[in-house]
Amino acid sequence: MLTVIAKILKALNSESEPWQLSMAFCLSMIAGLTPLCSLHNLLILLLALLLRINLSTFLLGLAFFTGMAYVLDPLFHWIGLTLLTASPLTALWTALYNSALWRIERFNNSIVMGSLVFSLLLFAPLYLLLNEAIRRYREHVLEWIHKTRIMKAFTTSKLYHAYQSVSGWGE
Amino acid sequence: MKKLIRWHGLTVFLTIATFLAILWFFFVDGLIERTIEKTGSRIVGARVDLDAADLSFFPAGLTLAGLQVTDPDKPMTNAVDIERIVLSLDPLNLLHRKVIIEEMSLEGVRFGAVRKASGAIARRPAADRNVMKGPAHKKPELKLPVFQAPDVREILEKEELQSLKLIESLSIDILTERKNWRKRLEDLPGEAKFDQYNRRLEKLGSSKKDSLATILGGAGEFKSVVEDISRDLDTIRKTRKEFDDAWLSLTKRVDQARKAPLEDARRLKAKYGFSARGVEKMSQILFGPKVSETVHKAIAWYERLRPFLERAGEARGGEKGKGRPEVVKPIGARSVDVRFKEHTPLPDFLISLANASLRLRAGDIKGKIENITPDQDILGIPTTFAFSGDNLKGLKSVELKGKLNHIDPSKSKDAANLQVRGYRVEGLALSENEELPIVLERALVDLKLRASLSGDAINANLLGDFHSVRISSPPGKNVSSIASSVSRLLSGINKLGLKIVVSGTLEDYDLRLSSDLDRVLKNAISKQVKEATDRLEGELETAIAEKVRGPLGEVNMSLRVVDDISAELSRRIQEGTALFDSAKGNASGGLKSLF
Repeated sequence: MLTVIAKILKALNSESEPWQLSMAFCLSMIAGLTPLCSLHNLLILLLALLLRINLSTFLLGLAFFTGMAYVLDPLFHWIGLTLLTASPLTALWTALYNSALWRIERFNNSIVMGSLVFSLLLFAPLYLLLNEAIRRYREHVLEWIHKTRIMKAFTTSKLYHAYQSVSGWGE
Repeated sequence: MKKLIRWHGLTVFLTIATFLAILWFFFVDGLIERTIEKTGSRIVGARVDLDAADLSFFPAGLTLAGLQVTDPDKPMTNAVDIERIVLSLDPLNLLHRKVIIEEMSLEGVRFGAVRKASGAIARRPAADRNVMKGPAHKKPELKLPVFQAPDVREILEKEELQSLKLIESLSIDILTERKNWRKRLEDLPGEAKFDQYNRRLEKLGSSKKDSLATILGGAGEFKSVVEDISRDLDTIRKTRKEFDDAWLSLTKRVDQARKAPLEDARRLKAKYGFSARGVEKMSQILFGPKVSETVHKAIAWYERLRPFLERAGEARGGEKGKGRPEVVKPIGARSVDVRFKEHTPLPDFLISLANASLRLRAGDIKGKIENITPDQDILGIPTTFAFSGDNLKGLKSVELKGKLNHIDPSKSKDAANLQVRGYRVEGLALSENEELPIVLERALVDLKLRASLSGDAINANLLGDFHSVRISSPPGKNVSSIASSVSRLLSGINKLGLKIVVSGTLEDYDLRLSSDLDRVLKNAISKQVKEATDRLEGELETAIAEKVRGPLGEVNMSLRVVDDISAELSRRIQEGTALFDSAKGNASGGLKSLF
């Protein structure tokens, strides 16, 4: 765990592109908030491995969002049921219901639908927000942090040694 | 592009996917096993165990071995054991998340086998708990009639006699009344007052009447005395009237107290005496508990298995089954599934044909169940079943046929017909009553059952024809003459007809049993019951009369004392009247002398 956090910090403070971190976090959000054994999560896994994103961030984000999902299940159920039973969308759902692929995806389950729609809607704003946040962090905060006493003390800590020792795979 | 894509990631993905597929392949059997056990336990409300599950791909099928379903009411017994279940799956429909089983065979189905470990689970499903507490679970309240003559002394020691209570309270009331009336007598004008009037009259009579003034004065005095006597006399008469009312009330209560012992005797006879009522309903007493338990169990299992007959779905925006989305809650899930209209509608779960071999103690019975699905509204065909067996051990033939029609769940109609011929019953204990133990030693039974269920309304009719009957009723403890008669009669019966009617709703049904036994017994022992009851009533009357004799004597004595008050009041009225008449005479004589 310590190593994973160190890797994230290293990536955050490295020269790697902000999108690599934010995309990892956003993809982990979809995989974590929706039921893990869903068909779409295979695609998420493929994207996570194929795109040059930070895998440590993806793994940490996955653990974080899986925990969040448990708390948010009632909300997902409500969103899913509202969408699935909305009359204007019945034709669309009926078409999908008659497709084997979508049946395997279990789109007609209230929690699957609710969590997927919720995470997809959040995907783009979160991605842009994180990108901007990382950029600002590097420009303004990082330099200042390096000069603080806490940071100086931190450089002597165990976590910092772990941070130093990790390789840059995934950057 | 190179900065964006990590091509070796594809290889990692394929490796992970292959690894997951291999993992699934190795663990899918265990997964199926656990899913069946978990879901089954949820439905039944007791442990469902499965020894092994084996999923095969070519051809697609599933084999389940050693399925045990615990009886929720008897956790150490299995409701059903199935040695092996083999079923063939339709793989293409599985992709549509539809479990379509063309054919299934159930081998070695047994009922009521003893379990090695308890199959109870900590929490039973809510639906099951409701079934158990419903009014249908009420046991028949009838008991075997009491044939043994009760001990009168014991009854009187145990029971509170109303007559005794009445007499005791009356005795206290009489004493109080007596005290009150004595006090009132003291306050009433009596001998002293009358003497006083006499002296006043004598004084007036001896006084000189020499002038008109003295004559007129004397007349006025006379008038005043007469008025005083008249007032006192009125007071005594009024008191007498009040006394008469009180006396009447007391004598009425005394009459009641005298009759109360008879009332007590009648009440106690009704409570402890013999009753032919129990004998009239002997078949209900003998067969009722077993039949009631069987009916209750059947209803409980029907409720448990109902989810396999009709899915509890809720149609959104209109009537169910009209092509509108339907919300369905999978068993044990936190979420719901919404079902939409399909181009080629198929049930989510369907067993087209299930061949079963039931292993009973009498031998094997074979049968088939067709179209098992919770989506009859989609399939449009009801579930049917048919089982039969011939020349079995202790059973000539058995045939069970039925149809469970839930195509329109709001108008569901289930029906079952059972015909049993030549079923040999041996050593069935019908009554374990100490005084009248009854054992059906031997009988050949023909049964015909027709049961139907429309919605929640149940209607079942069972006709049982018992022949070659041998009922034994070994002499019990302290057997009375009536019990002996019943025992003798039962031993002589060799043919018996039994009719059971169940009607009402699943929640609250009415169970009626009747048989030839009721009529035969009623006719035979009614006279004996009456004689024994009359005898008991006589004994109770004597014993109660003995017990109340003393207190009742005291009441009579007290009443006589109160009666003395009546005599005293009469005497005072008499004396007062005489004095009044005399005073009146003197008064008019005095005035006459003036003229």
